[in-house]
Amino acid sequence: MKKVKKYFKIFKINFSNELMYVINYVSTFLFFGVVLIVFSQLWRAIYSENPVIEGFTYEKMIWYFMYAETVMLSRFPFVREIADEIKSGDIAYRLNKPYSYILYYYSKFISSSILKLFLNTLVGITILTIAFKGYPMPLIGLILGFTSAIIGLSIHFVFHFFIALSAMWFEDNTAFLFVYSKILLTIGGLFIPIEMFPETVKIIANALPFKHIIYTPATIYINGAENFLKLFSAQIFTLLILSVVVAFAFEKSKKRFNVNGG
Amino acid sequence: MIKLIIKYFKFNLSAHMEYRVNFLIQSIGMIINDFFLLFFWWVLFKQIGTIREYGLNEILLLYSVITVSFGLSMIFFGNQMKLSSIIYNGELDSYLFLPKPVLFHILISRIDIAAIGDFAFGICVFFLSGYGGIKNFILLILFGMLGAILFASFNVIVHSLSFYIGNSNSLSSLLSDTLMTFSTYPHTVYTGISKILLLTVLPAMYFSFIPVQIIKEFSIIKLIQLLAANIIFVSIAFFSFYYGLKKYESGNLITKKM
Amino acid sequence: MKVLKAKNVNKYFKTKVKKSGLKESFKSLFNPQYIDVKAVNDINLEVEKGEIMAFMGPNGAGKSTTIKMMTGILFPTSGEIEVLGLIPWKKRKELSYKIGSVFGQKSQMWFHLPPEDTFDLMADIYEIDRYDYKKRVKELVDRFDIGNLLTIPVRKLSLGQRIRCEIAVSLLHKPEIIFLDEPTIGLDVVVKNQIRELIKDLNKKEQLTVFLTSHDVGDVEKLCNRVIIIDHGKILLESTVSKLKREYLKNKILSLKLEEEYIPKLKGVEILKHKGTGIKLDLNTEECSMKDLLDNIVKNTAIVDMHVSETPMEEIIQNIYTGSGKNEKGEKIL
Repeated sequence: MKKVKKYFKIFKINFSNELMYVINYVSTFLFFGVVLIVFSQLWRAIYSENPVIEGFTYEKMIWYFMYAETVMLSRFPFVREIADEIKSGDIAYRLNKPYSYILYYYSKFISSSILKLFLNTLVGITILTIAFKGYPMPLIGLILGFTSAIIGLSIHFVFHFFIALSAMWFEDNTAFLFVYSKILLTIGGLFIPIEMFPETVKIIANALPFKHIIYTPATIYINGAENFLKLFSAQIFTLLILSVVVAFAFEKSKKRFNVNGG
Repeated sequence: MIKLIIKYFKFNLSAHMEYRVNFLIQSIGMIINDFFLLFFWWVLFKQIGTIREYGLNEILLLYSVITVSFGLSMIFFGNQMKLSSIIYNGELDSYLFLPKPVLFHILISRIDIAAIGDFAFGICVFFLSGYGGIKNFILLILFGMLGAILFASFNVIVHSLSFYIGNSNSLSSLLSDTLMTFSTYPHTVYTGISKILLLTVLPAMYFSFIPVQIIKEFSIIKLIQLLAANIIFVSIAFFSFYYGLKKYESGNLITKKM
Repeated sequence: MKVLKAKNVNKYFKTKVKKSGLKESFKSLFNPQYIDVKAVNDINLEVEKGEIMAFMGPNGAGKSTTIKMMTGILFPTSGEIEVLGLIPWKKRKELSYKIGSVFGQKSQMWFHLPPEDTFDLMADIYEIDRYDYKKRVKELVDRFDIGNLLTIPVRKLSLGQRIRCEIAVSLLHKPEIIFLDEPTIGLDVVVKNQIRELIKDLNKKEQLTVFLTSHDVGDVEKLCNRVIIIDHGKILLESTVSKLKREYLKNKILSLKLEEEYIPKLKGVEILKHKGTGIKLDLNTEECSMKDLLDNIVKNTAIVDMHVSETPMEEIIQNIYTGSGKNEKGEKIL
């Protein structure tokens, strides 16, 4: 139990730390509002010709988008920190500590992300409930969606950790971060749900793990219990596989750090 | 001053050439990054046709204007995104110590080499958009320069918040991203409050939309609007920075690092 | 001619305070508490042209704040400062052409490029005439012996090589006064002396005024004419280095092993330690000469072994830092 306790401590301290940065949160909410405005106007223009597209009404589309963007905005940046540690060789010192490097960063990441997720969801739901004068989504979607989002963000953590590890070979990983973000935006189902993709693209998007970060939580949110088990288990499975891969990759990299460090 | 800009360009390039592979990857990465967005539009148009007078060609034109402006801005004023960190970390001091106008010096002392990729991408996309042509190309370059200045001014304004609220990096980047976000969608969808927003505090209209309108149909009035907006934003930028600098020199920043 | 004048300079800052814990974090959100910190408290100092001034003090003493005010980066809450006849924060640009600086921790050279590129860039920044620039570079390169380093990327240089280049860069535009912040930190003893000689040399040849911040007492002893010690924003000591040495050189520490147990009782002699035939004493040579003390001891017993030393400069400074301004006996020296 002692082993796990330390990660809770990290969680708690980080949570406390995050509260210092009110401005960060307020600005995220504002940006969220802005994005909701842009997209509701975009979709309104699109829906002015078609009442239903691939099973999505205008309303459903906006709620979907709201939750997708909620998850997107709940991501907590940490790649820079790890990349710097790798490049400077400091990571060698970190590895000598009595805790897992990956779990340390995961605890930090997930504590901030959960806080952001909770707050973002609150803001998103408030804005849309006022705009649509009601909450038409299945209530159970809130809990199921939240759980799915946490798994989704955990999968995101793994991908970002991979990008951080790339600092071993690449001086600058900004391009990777950008491309990854764009992948989430497009194939990940943020801007358009996968249902609306043309056939070939749909197949590719469904085969890739990126959909589990944004698309799956948002879909579970608007559909509630329907299809939940199928989608959720696919998510968990993806997370497990990716975790194993990243843990393995990290173990292999550890040797390299010890050579470069110091 | 021009000489200094060229010097910085030369040195930034040399410094990046030290890591040739990285330079290539960054540039290619940016191109891939830009490509993904266009892909999304292609998908959308395939499914739902046009959106209020915007078809694929119009989106390509829009993107070329944006990437050319952004590219030029990040090439010449490459430090604009790091301004809040520079202020917060006290790196401002080394610039204050030197005999050159502080704001300008900070902005030009870094070249975002990857932005060359964006710029090149913009030019290519322009010629694919169906709006290519000598006259339009000249307009593109002109709007690129104006947009570059406008974008940099906007970033200076939002990053100067660091003088007032501590490390404003996340807020500043968010505002900068917001401008970009708004700019990359067909302006015809914006109505009401958002339209007003984009004509005032978040100058997306002047950054991308009005240039697109002028290329589609030339209008002197719109051109004057564009110039006026630029002048206004540049002035506000100078004011917010130098006013904040006064505060900095009083040493009373909440999170000033000694 | 005074190149630097500071009169009744004060500097206050507001800092946020917060106690630990989740509850306090929430409180701090809605009702942030501030306290006033007095970083610089009524500082008065003057530096003459051609002086090498040491500026010392424990960490957090207010040194950086003071230097920032002198270079125009901060302005004081009250008081006057004049550097080379200019008010730093008012005429910052004009002053910047005449001053140079080296911060041991922060480099002004581009990390991935060779020093000659930074030289080139600085030539433009300081608007140095092309011909003058070439001449000056050659001069500095010869004097600092960095000719073979010019084309090596800075990241590949050793610390000593880097510092030599840094100082050379800071002198490119022929400043009248330079501010050096911990220039010898982390350097080995040979390189340290090399750097000190270089600075001394420039000081003599070009009448370069040097304002040096250092924790290294060797820098003070071997390089500087005067020293100012500050702590908690206040000046604790201002003296010439020779006077400082003299004040302490008058005290000598003797460790003696005698044939028989004997304790000399003389004015000016203080027994520090005594165990059997071994004795350690502090001699104030102004009150009792070495000759008188030794005569006294030899009259009563024989000296088997003897060791004489002076209070190390390090200890002197330490005593000043720890707020006594007194020597180990508890006498006030300054």
